Amino acid sequence: MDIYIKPMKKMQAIQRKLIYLEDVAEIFAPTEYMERLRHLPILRIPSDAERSYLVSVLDLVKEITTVFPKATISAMGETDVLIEYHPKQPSQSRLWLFGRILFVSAVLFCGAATTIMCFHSDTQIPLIFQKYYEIFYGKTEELPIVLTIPYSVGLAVGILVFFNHFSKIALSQDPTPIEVEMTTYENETITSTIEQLSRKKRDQS
Amino acid sequence: MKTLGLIFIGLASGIAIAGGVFAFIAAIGLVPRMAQRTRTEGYIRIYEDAILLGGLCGCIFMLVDIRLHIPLLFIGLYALLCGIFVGVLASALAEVLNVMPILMRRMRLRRGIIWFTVSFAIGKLVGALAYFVLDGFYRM
Repeated sequence: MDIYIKPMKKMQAIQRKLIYLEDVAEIFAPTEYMERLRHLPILRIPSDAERSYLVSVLDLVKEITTVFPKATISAMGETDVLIEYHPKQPSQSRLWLFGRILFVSAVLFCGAATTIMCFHSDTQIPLIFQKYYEIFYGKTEELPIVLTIPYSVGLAVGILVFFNHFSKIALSQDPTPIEVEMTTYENETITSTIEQLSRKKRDQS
Repeated sequence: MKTLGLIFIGLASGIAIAGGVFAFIAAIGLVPRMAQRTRTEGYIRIYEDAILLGGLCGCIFMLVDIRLHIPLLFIGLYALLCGIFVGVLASALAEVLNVMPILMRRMRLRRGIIWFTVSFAIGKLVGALAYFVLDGFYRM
């Protein structure tokens, strides 16, 4: 009998202490065994504290072999599964969520404004605009409008093209650069947590 | 003709600079960090809109002479938010450049990240205050 499992990278257990095989892996096996495999307990979370647990693919294989000693198990995908246990439901309040989004947006708005002004004064953009104006018209002007307004428009166009969307109007189907960055960041966090947990595991044994 | 040329130059520099400056903000990993801290990972598009509007306002405020009459309190709040942003930016920069991991490795330390972070933050605070309060640092 062949059993194929594909463990996931990360799994969140909210208010549940018993983790089954189907929670941490995709399973493919003959239909008559599927039911038992799906509800095979893998881990019982010992404490009430909010923390992460590590289940390696070997633990899964061990659990399966105790039930099906003759099975051939092929594992593909991740070699370690991170299980995050949350003792209570994360807060769902719309107002609180709105407040947090507003806070981050405000920080980013003010920050982006400061950043672009820092950049301008750092690179002395006004001087460069004056120089351009002088080259073309032969006279000096403090801040030539013929340059600053197209420049501002260009800035907006540039950011739009870079982020690929404004509000709900998307320029293309691709995820935006920060969404890509977010995925990378999440993956790195999971990898690093898995590393730390397996190091701890090794120290204990 | 000359005007058209200048308009084109302005537009082109705007596009190029926007690409550079905002790619920096996006690549430094500061938005993902804040989104993760506040558990609002699903709303990143709103944050990108905020960056766009902020950048645009900063640009307009600098290049066009606008006077806004708002209470002092709001300016303080604005400064606080800017401070948070620059603080996150500085830490993200230090992190991307691997300053702390390398230092810790060289000093053969495995613990104490919390203390390094706290001293990093206090150092920034003292530095910023000294820069604004003591004479001789700040010159326009």
